Amino acid sequence: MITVSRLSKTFHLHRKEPGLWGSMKSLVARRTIEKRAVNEVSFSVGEGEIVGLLGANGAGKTTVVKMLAGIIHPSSGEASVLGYKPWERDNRLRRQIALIMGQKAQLWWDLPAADCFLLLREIYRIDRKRYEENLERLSAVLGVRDLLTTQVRRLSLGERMKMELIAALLHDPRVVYLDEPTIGLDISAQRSIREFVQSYQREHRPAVILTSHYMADIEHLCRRIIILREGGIVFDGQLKDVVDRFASTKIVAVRLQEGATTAPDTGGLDKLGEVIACSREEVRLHVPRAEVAAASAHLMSTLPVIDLSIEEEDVGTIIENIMTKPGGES
Amino acid sequence: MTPRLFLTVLSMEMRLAFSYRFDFWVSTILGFVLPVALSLFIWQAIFSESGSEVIAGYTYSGMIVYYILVWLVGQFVQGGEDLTDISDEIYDGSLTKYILYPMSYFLFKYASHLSHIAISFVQVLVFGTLAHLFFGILNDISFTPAALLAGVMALMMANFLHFVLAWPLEAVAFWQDNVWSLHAMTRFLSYFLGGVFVPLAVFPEGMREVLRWLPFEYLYSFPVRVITGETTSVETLRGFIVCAVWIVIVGIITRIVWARGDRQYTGVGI
Repeated sequence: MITVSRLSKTFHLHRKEPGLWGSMKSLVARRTIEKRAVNEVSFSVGEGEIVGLLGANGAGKTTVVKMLAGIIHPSSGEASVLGYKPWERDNRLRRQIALIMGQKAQLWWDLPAADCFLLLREIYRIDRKRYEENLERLSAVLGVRDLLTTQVRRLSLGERMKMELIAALLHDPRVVYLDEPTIGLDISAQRSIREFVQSYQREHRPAVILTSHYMADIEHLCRRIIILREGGIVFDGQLKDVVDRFASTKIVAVRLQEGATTAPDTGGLDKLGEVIACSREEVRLHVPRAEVAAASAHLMSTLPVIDLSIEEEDVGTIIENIMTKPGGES
Repeated sequence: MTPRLFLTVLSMEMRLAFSYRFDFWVSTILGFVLPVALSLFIWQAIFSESGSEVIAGYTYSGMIVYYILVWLVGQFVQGGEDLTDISDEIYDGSLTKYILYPMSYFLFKYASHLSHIAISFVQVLVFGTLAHLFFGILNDISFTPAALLAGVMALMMANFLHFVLAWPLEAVAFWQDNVWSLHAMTRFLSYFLGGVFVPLAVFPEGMREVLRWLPFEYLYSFPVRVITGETTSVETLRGFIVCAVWIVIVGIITRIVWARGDRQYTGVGI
């Protein structure tokens, strides 16, 4: 449904030196710098798939989404969404896609949501029966039926976000872009948006690209993730494979018998792996995967161990490492 | 864009605009009373100073009627201040949602712009009635069917020309953050060359000949003269043609500028 091939985008930014003098200089001559936001990115997304697009701020996630939604033109490369080039903005394509932006309201502030929806019904030419069914179902599931006649600007952020979701889904889009849909929401609102997206996805099977800073969003919604760093793809695969491919170590933790007066000597532990914690009660180590068995055996024989556990690294931490550190792959 | 969508946008924008009642009345009163009162005083001084009964073909009362009519026509032609929204929407990234929707932004804006005329209509009705009671402006308007038709046509064309003229300027926002000064400058220019500040009859003939080929007088002075029946049918027809040609020219320029600007658009804010 979505195919992206060597897509790149370079922005031309005006650089202005700080201060009044800098402003005055920029009146006469402006210096432009080029910033390559997206660099030869290729991937594809199939029907019914939710792909999480991850990356640090400025890694190019939103730029990719903007190009796929047809908002901006790429500098080079190709993309096809449902067989159309998105930036050519064919109405037949635009009737089948939706973009939901957590940071940018799309509804008209001064109108009640119900009026906005009526306008969208005309814009997308949704027939009355389908419109009424969709509105009824979506507003019931999201629990906002009583708020439909409230002016959008008087809604809370969470309520507004739910209205944005309804607005974007009234026309049954086959491709949905979710750009940080839970940003700024409290935990319970985040959860309800997440659950909603999950159930919507199961029932309607659209192709979804999700960007988010919250690992919880990604872990709940996406089986597959694409990680961007400095505009390029550094990982494209199953979420569960991230740990296998990128976590070079496991965490070995032992609980110690009570009664010891001093913590074990860290000098000896250092040889086994990187020490995370070392106290009278507990020792935790990062141990290279191949040496886990040997390290465990060594700990068991040298320390008064009452309990031993071997844990995988936290997937969020691993992804964070991939996103920020160059050469995160081992 | 379907006619139904057009009408939906029209009615939505109308509801919105009428909901700002306070703003509506303040802007109406200040916008009308100040310029009309100012011209009243200035021309009173000029007429008494010069000692002549007729200046540039206008008597004192004829002059006042001209100013009132230009103001009323201006309300129709400009609608609200809504066209500056275009550059704001480019600047703050609100344009994004209109790019996503399967419809024409241009026609959406035109529907929205036309709805502002409904408000202007109320203003014109209220102040037109008042102005008639004080200055008898209706006596200067010819009410034959042909004249009425020509008047309505001149007004609609002026409104559309004004709408189209705004677009290339608004599109500058793709490159520059602030186009306010451009607005101020073009407004001053079109008021000056369009006959809002002073009737064009005041200008020397050579300049008036040049102005006839420029778009500005078709925004203000021309519709007024059509309404008061001052133009001959040949003049009226020629005016319509010149106005239509300008609409086409500016339309083409807008297409080119917009297409280039669109490539610059970064969808700021998301």
